[in-house]
Amino acid sequence: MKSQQRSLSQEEIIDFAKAFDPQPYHMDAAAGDASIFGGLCASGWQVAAVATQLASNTLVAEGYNPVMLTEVCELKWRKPTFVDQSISTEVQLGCRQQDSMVPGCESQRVEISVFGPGESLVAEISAVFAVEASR
Amino acid sequence: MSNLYLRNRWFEDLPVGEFHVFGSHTFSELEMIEFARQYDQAPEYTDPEVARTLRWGGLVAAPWHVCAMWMRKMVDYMEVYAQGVNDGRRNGAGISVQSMTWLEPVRPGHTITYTYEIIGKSDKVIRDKWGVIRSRNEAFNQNGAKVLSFEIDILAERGSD
Repeated sequence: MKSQQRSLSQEEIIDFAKAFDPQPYHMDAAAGDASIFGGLCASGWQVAAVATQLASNTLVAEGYNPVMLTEVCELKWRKPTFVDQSISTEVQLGCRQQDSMVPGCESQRVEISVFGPGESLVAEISAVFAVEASR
Repeated sequence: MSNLYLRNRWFEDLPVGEFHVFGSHTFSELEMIEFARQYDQAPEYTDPEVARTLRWGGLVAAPWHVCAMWMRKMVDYMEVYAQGVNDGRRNGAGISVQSMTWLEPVRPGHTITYTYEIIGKSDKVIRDKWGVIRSRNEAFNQNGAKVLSFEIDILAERGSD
């Protein structure tokens, strides 16, 4: 299941970094160029949040009812996400379990591939959403 | 910032078991809504009135918000902790997360305290310069209930012999 796209402007990247991840390579172009990433790039947490939201929206559109993210079994950051690069996700459903930390919900495992420009893989997220229990 | 370095603390010097309390943050309703409007628009996180009728009986923080604040606390803590020290963890990129679980909702006015413990060091060398440190990170509310737990692999600079 393919998600919609979103990109992050320089302002959004810097605003997030100032609030949550104030490291030079997320706030300053020259520092980004000199860093291991090779350019000003978004905090990995910002990318994770955006990707999870895109995946959640996809689940909604497909008729699942995600209530909240309860677990990230594994998250791998593969590549940096630079200013104005598109982010999209592909979601594959994994196993379903009857219980959840959210009362009245079940647990739905999902494998989220996060793509940048040209279908390059920027992150992989293996997560669990609490979803409305099926009737 | 001073350029006087009293000690080097490279990857090799950092022991498994080293434990830090990064600090605490009290979440306000306003900042919870601001975060959620951009990153997770469910009414539980964005609309106090509607949230009151939903499963948590009030507004709660978006899961990634609780986690993003961990990052902020780590960066702030390391800035102070590493004054006068060449600490290899400074500005080391995160590469992967394992076993992240949100255990309890965080509500407006809750004060969350973040802890960090080194639980492993990998033999891998990345780009001739970086080692990988695995830490267990936990967040507790003001009542001592654990609200978030995860492990993360972060690069730490190796000493140049």
